Amino acid sequence: MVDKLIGNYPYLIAALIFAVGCYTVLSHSNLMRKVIGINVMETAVFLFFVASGNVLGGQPPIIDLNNSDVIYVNPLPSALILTGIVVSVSVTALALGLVVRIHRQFGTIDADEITEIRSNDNA
Amino acid sequence: MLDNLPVIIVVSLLMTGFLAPLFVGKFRRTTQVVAGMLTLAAAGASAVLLYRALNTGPVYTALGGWEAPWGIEVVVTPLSAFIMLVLTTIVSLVMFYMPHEQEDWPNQKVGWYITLVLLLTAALLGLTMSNDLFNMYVFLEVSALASFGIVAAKKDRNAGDAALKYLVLATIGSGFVLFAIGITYAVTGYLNLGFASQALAEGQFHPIITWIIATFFLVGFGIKAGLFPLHVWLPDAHSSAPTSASALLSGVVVKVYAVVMARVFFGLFGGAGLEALGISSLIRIAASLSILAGSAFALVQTDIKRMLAYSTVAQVGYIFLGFGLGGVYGVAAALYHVFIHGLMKSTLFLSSGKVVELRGGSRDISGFNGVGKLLPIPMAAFTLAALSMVGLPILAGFATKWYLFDAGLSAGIYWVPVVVIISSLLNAAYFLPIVWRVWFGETEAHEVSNRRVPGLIPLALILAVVGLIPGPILRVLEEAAVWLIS
Repeated sequence: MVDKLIGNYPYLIAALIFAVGCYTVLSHSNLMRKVIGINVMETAVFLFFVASGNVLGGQPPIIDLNNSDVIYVNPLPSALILTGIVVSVSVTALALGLVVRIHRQFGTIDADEITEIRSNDNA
Repeated sequence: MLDNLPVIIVVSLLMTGFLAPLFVGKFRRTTQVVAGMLTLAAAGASAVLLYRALNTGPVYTALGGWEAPWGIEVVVTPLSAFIMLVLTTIVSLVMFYMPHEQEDWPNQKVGWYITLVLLLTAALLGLTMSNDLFNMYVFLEVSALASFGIVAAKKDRNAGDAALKYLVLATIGSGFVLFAIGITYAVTGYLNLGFASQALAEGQFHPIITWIIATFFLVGFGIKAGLFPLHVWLPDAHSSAPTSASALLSGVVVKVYAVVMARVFFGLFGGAGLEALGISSLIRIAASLSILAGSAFALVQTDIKRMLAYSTVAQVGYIFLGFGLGGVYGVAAALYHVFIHGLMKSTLFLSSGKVVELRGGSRDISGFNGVGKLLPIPMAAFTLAALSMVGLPILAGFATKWYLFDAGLSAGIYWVPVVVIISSLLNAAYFLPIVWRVWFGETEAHEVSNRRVPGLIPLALILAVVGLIPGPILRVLEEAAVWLIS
């Protein structure tokens, strides 16, 4: 059991980083840190995907016609993650744009202070 | 041709979406009308697909000629076709409302807003028809990005804050969904729903693995669909958006996520598998809490748009409850509610948007005093939709409750009817006072320059007709439910 866990350490690390990212997003009130937390979280998922495509002793997946018993790593997860990274970059860009707008309109990027300002607005 | 129709619908909406900002400067009115006609055409195409799927079975498309599991597979079952039809119908009616709202917007903003709405529609359509998990993730993210955009469309500062809150939480949701997809791929080796489900069933995996996959999907889609207690972003985002965006987000977007979650769950684990994992009971409990907490929060709101947004949390609970109960009646109730709640909520948002406009932007409920005399037709539609929410017989909301009752009793879960009754009472408690204000409240005489709310009358008419004769739709949905369950 423990051997298996240690042998599959990339998955463990991915789960750990995912938890760290999630915690960062939820626990910090600074909006920039939230955006960074989102990125950490997504990176963990990307790590998980790429690790799941690895085959022990595998070669880069460039087909060698002369040698048929070579083991290749699975290229699909890496290809998928390229798309994932693009998505993550666009979400980050939009998030940063919104943070700039919030800073301009509220004069702060602290979620707690913003909540306070908004409740004063309503009162 | 018909095999490619699903793909053509999505692609044409995407392409037109990006063309809109180019033409809006010179041909503003034409661009708005073309966008509306295009979604209407998509509704027609979805109706054709629904007819075809009901009569000759699902329409399969292998993208690029690559058969599953290698390529991306698009499957239009009666279920997906029905959801597509509901989605495109409501979007097109809201599209006809949009020019009214956009009168004093600059051209540039109108163009990009149309882009975002079409992008959102295309992504949600793709999400409903795709049978490939990673493809679903991409559409999920496209639809999410478009929703953040339309939430932030208003200039006032609350909109920016609401959009960022939505973005942060929805992205956590996507993280969970992507993680679940990653685990599914790692253990089964497939991204195609059908193949992955087969591999999961044959693989004899440790139950903890399937349980982790299911909970990650539940948390991810739960955040996106506003399931209690993951709904915290929803009231802010849905109330800060422009009227048309609120109608779309509350009316269709959250529901599509709920349906997609049901497709993934029933597709991967099957109804019996879900029950065995305990996920069904988890969904039922979260859904009941959604229904009760959403209604209770709605009761204490004084801001009409926030009240309607909390009511969406409650109504999404009905949909989850139907899926959690499973069985033909439970799933049919959920699908029927997707349809009528889409109609009711967009009617409510469009008509109350008119009242907010009349009161100079004030969203306080007291603004409804006596508006029945000033805006008779929009307020008649409002009353119809509000009473239908309460679930009075011969109105559309009644059939959902009836079916949930039935499904709850036949599954032997006796607290479901109790939850449904309590929720109807709570709905009555927050909708009836407003209806009372509308028709019997006092207001000073007020000159109304423009009484029209485009798109509202068709929505209300469909709602009234469905309420009078729900039978044919329920038959279709029972058939669609069989496709989901088996």
